[in-house]
Amino acid sequence: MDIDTTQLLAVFSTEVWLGALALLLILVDLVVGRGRLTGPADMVRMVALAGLAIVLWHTFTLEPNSGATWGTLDTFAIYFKRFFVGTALVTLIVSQPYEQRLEAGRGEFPALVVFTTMGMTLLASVSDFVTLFVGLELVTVTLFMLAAWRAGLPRSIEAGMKFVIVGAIAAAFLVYGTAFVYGTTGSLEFSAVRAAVGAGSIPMALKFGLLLVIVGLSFKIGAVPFHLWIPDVYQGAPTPVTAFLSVGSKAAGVVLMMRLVFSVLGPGAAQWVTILAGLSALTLLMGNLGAISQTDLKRFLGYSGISHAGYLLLAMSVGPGILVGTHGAEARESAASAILFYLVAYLLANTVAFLVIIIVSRTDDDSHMDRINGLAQRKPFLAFALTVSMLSLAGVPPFAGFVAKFMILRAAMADPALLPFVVLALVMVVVSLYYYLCILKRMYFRDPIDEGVLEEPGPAARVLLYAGVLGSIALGVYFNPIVEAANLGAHSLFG
Amino acid sequence: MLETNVLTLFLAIPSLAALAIFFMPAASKSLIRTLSVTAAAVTFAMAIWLCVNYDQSAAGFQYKVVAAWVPSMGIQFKLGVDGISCAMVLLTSVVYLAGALVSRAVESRAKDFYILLNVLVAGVFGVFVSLDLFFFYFFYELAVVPMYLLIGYWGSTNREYATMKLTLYLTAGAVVALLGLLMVYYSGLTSEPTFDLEAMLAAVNSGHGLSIERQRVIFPLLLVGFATIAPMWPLHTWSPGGHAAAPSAASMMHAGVLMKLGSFAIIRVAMPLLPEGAVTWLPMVAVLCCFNIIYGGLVALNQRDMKFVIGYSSSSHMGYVLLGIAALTQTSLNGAVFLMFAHGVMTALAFSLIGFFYEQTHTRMLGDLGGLMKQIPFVGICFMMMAMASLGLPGFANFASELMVIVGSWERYPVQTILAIFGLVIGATYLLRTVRAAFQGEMNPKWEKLYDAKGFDRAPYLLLLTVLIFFGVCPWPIVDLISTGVAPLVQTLHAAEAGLLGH
Repeated sequence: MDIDTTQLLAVFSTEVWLGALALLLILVDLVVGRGRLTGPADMVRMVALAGLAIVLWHTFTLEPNSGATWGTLDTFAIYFKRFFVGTALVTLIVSQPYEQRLEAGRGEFPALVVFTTMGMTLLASVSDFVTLFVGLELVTVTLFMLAAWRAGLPRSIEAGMKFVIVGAIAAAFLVYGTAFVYGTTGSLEFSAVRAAVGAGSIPMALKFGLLLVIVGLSFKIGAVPFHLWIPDVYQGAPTPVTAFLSVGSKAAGVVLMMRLVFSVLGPGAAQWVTILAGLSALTLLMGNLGAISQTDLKRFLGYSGISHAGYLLLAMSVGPGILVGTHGAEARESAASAILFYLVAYLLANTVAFLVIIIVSRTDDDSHMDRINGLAQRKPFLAFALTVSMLSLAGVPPFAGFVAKFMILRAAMADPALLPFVVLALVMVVVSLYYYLCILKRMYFRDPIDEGVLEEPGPAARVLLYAGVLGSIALGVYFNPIVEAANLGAHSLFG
Repeated sequence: MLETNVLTLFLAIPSLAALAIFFMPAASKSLIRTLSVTAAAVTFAMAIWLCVNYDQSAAGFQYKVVAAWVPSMGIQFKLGVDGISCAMVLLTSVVYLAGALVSRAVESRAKDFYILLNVLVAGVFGVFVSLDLFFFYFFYELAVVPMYLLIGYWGSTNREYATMKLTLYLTAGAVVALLGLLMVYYSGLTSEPTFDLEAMLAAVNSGHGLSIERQRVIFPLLLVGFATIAPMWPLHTWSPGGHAAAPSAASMMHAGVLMKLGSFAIIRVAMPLLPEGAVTWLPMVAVLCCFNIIYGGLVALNQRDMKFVIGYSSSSHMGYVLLGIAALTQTSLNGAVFLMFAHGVMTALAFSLIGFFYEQTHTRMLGDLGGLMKQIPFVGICFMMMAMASLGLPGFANFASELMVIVGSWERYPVQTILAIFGLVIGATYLLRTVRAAFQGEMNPKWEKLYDAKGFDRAPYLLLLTVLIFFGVCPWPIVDLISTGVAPLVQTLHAAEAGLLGH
């Protein structure tokens, strides 16, 4: 096979930069670090932040390029590359107040995050099953390490261990599925699968293989019944890592699922809709009902994250049933665009929530919900920020989450076959409002239980809090720019 | 200048007030209050200007503001008012002003209170002036959610339960309505799916409305969704508890304005878009509203907490509004909208007065009160006038509007109308009973230290009373205004009944 190196570099330039940055960070830590704990770690962080900012800028200069064989750089991939690099940047800021309390292991955190991000951006560009597997493993393996980052805490180790096992199972499904796909189509390229699926009668083995791949990815996005690891790992992992997991890792699953469902299965996806919609219904039910009884903030956000995956899956089920005429393609495109918007709204709200959790859980890293009781009396701005975040997640105007849910429901309503699922999603909006309001209840109507002094967030964290709140409001009111960007990103999936 | 932007200002002024308060120090309470009262007074002046300058001979939607928002989803930022919305905007601004004035009593976390109050008002104005269904829903939800914190933190009696129930009930109603709205959106009413209400109305009126079968499916969704907040029996159970728990200004906004969003939405969206569906389903509303009137009244008769009396009386009075809507005549609908206005002002007065002495007595139980007239004559007299207005004494706006509803509904629903008249008797009973128990008879000596409203504190009560009496004595300015908005609706619905809307 002829490989055009220039093309390849053009497609994977973001990954190259990220890889170089990660290696640089290790070097900086090695050279400057040398046993000292405070100064150099901050230096590594500064380098990482600067580096990521440059890479983020770089992703905004990317032009679509479809020349290379090993990957694609369409507008969809570019949208996600920006999203992942942005998420990494945010994660490094979120982790700052948390890291300050640590005694050791601060230098390697930024490097690991950047490696994970490299895997994620790679996933945005995959066009064959091998790259998919490589990217996914890069993400998963670095996340194992991050989850077990606080080696001194048993539950951090436990979280890492659980994640390893679940990750291995998911990878096994994926590889086994890939083998079936290769066995029936003779190729690992997505285009070959698309051709085979589009040809009409699909061999049973191919169906089985694709089903296994979907199961493997379902672990990643936390779809029920493959969600059981989420609450435990979210609770046990260090909070900044949980923040990264909840947005970055989920989005990594979403980007693959979207490419698979919208682009690879394409019009042939009709047969899969039942499965996806079913998964969505289960996920909505379990996520929302599970969240009600939680008493730990991180577990709570774990369940809330599961429920959000349900909405995303609902959007992925849109369309194949109404493919007659152009209306179906339009509906699928608006569904894909809704998912892209949803992720941004989710990133903004989740970032703020986890930052507040890091601050209220103090040095003993206890994220029990009692910690936020009476927060409005202790730190009114933190309470306000968490209120915005919760209401945005609940889908209340004028916050970004409202627009996101509205877009998903609007897209799903275009498909008459999905009506029962839309009804379920609407019911779950009300259910979710209940548990998000319970958080408000603790902050505003209860007296503080926790007597400890809350540290002031540093300047970067403060900026991030303001940015998250303002962003949630801005995208809830004037959302057209991101909708346009999402439309552009979604469009290339259906080229 | 004002002509082109007045409706945007109705949204901008409360929003900017909320934003400005957000950046003020919590300690400068008097500044925060002054700012809120000023904002409210400005919207009040604008509302009067709007009602006076609305061109009644031209009718239709006026003072339109149109801006592209999200073309790919068919969303526009589109505002406009007709006669009905003008009246509702006026109501909102009156209650807003009175609410901001009586909230001088709020001491604890006044800053947060005023932020939420202003956001809520922005949402309510938004619903009344939106001509795009996306923003209509957006503002509708925006008006509901601040209430959660307003009641939960500053409220009384069983507030946490009441506020959660209220928020979830109203949101549940809202999502049912959303389902209906999305069905209309995709129904193919317009060539491209759009949330533009005017474009949809144009399609309906030019004979391209939805098939009757479809309307019969979608209309109940919108009806149930919007009637939850109206509140139509049996969806009303959130309301009395919510009113009772809420702090004065929140009860005033809630019973005075928020409840009207439901009937307004039915009149603005559900009926004109789905006229045949309305003709099919409204007879059921005519039955259910009797439960509102009679059942609500009887329950009010048995309450001991004054706020519960007024709370149940509100759902009873909303029964008349629903009856007026269901009867589908020009007079009954004029009366219904006018009653929305009159009841809004009246009930705001009731809650503000109860709030005034509750802050001192810390009880609203009829058994604990009594003889208060001696101690607080101004408040007592205002309360008595409120009760007279509420029970339908001529001279108050409520009488005029209820009379219109009854006269207008007689022809179509004689049985329900007789029940409604009987409901007025129940109303008189519980109101007079409340007045007697609280303000007349022997005074409990422990109330000797109560102080009356003095000087500027009287302003909100006088404002509300003036409005009630002014429109009671000369109702025609507002009835004429409302009538210009009702006329096209009645025309469409009568055409639908006669099967004249082609398909």
